[in-house]
Amino acid sequence: MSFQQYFDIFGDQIIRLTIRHILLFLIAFAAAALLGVVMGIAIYRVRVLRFLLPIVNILQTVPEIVLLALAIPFLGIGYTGALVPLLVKGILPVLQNTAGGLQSVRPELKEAATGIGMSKAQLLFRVELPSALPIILAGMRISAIMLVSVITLTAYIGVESLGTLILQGISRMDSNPLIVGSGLSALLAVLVNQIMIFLERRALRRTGGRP
Amino acid sequence: MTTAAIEFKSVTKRFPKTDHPAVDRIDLRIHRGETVALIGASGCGKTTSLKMINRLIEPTEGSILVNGQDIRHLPLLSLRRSLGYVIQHVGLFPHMTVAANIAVVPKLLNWDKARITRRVDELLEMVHLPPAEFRDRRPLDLSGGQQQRVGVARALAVDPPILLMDEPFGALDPITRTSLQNEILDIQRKLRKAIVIVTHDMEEAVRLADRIVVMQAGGIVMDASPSDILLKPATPFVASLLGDSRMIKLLQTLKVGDHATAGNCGGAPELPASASLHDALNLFLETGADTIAVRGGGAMAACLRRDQLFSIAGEA
Repeated sequence: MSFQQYFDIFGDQIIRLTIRHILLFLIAFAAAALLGVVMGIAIYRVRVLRFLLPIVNILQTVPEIVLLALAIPFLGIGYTGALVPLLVKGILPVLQNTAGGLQSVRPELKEAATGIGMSKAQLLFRVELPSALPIILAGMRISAIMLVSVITLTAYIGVESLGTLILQGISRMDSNPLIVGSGLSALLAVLVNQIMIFLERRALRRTGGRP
Repeated sequence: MTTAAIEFKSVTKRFPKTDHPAVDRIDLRIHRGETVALIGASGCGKTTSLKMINRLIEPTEGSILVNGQDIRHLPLLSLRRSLGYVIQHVGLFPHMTVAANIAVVPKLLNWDKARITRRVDELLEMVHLPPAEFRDRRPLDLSGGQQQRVGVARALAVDPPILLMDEPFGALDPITRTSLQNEILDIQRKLRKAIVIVTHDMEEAVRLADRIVVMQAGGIVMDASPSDILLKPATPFVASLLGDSRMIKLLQTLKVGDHATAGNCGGAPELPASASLHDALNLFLETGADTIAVRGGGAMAACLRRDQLFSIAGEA
């Protein structure tokens, strides 16, 4: 089958899988970013939660495919089984960079803000988070790139994504879906990376290059 | 007795795991319109004392009153918002414009927008940063001196009756430092606040303060006017803080008007009564005159003779 014929027949499926992929990515990323920031703030603010950081670091080193496999006995095959491990992996870089970024806000900014009468919440939202934003965004970028490519693996546990095309290509020994599937995932990863770099640079410019 | 703007009543601060208290039973009263410098070597307790006023540090014993009220009984955030605070590292928020930095406390107090804009421009004018040029700039695009001008404007934003300054000009070059010190003198003449300034620079203390409080090992070793400190240092330690140019510093603190004698010396070079004896010395050296006519020191004409100046200088 020529490339042209492949597109004519499977064009709709390609579009559907691409949209699925993007949606899955957006859900996983939004949840990971939100939870990562919230947990990062909690670890920064509540000292006793610091014990979580080494655990987080260990989880970070577990390969995605292993987490996906481990999730199957507990969560089964399908969206839940796919999203939960993705979320766990996606949260980690955001959480680490949020806690670390807040930690690295210059002490004189905190002193000035507290000294002129900001409450703890005002200090957090008006000074600490905006100052740490470039570092937090860097964590989100790592998380986003990872998620957008790892989502292809969820095809193994029956979730439709661009990974489905790659699997088709492998099982049928057909280069067309293989090229389209991997090409589009790669393209998405590059696109996501560029968007995040743009946001990061903007935030960095605002804070003058240092948190 | 009038209520002091700030009063320390036997205040002690012990930090955990230290042998000696950082601040040891100090008593201190600071009045409205008065600039008091806390001076001493690092670790003498001067910064700790300052930070206990806005409760960044809590005293271990004793109490501190602001306008007659124990600060422990005042709501913490409104206490801090009513005390202007300037720190050495300036601490401007880099993600906010100059205007937004100055507007932080007014915003916390929910001022309306128009009032904030007006106040920001007024303050920028006061610290000699033209509002049209500086309002929308970012702190990190400004020089160190300009940043601290913004820092001072931020501290004055809601016109607090008390201004706390923690080594505010320590990181600036000498020329910028002098110009900012003049700015503070100017602001103080207009606004009559109670200013507490922590410094390790005797020159700065002499220039700015009406009273100098010398601290050593957590206690106050001398609390006196700049000229008394320069003329009669209470201990060798105080004398050691004065450095080499004691006579010059002394002349800088004394006013021509206070040392002139009545008389008519028409034709002699003139100085205003508010000029310092240091200015007079310069004028004597420049003109070679024996007498200076003093203007504006009351109804009577007054003169200052060169030998009078030298006898004062000789005491130092």
